[in-house]
Amino acid sequence: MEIVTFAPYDQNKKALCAVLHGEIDHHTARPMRDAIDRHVLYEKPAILEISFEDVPLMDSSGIGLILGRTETMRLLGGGVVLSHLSGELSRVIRLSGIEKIKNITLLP
Amino acid sequence: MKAQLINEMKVRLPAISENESVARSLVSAFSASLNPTVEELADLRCAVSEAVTNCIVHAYVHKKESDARFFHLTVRLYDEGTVCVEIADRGCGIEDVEKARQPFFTTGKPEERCGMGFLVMESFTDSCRVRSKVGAGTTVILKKKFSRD
Ligand SMILES: Nc1ncnc2c1ncn2[C@@H]1O[C@H](COP(=O)(O)OP(=O)(O)OP(=O)(O)O)[C@@H](O)[C@H]1O
Ligand SMILES: [Mg+2]
Repeated sequence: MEIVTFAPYDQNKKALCAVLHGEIDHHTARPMRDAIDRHVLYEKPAILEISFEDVPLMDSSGIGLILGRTETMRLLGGGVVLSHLSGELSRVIRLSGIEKIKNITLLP
Repeated sequence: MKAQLINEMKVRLPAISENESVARSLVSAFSASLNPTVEELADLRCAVSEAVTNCIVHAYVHKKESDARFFHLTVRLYDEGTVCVEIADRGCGIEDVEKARQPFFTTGKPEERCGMGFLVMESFTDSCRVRSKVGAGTTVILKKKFSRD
């Protein structure tokens, strides 16, 4: 099973959607990061959506992953959308305060 | 009345990142007999993940490849529904524990670390104690009481 899968690229909205699969920890964050970055540098989207629908657990490595991708998107002049966050994941997100960052948008 | 120890597990694992998920699984399987809620167990797993990751990422940074790198995971269950998880390494230790525990303090910047580990451990458990000695290692003791019906 792929650790990250991508929805077909939306040319109109210039939106790339990465769906993460499995628990996010220090071990899995790196291959997830590499897969996302490869696609982002290829497509250069305006919006990077990261979907957490298939992520049962995330520790602080997930926050590092999100912040790193947000920085990449900021350099491209775009933003990051976080979607399908479970209650558990939302609590880690809230602890980090990253929802206050300008180019991060949270979707339910 | 003093809490009675009802079960205890001790394992020694190599400090490699594969063992982050192994440690989480061991802790949840072992704690299951205390009937935690889904949320309580998820919180504990997340806190354990942070402590174990720190052993792997920080404790042995100065060690040579050939040196032994292990961490010890001890889980104790008490009859009042409390679980105590101890994560210990024999690594470099932490010079200033109080500073290390400050939210967003990190020495791991280039690797996308954000200094949230201790904040997660504190927020997702009832108590988080840290004992550390430079050159000798670090022990983190996490305690959580499960509500049970
Ligand atoms: N077991 C350990 N051995 C040595 N140093 C440690 C250990 N655990 C933590 N530290 C030190 O404490 C700092 C803070 O740890 P904490 O887990 O809060 O953040 P982090 O690991 O840097 O980032 P994050 O956990 O968000 O990925 C670390 O940067 C490191 O310097
Ligand atoms: Mg950490």
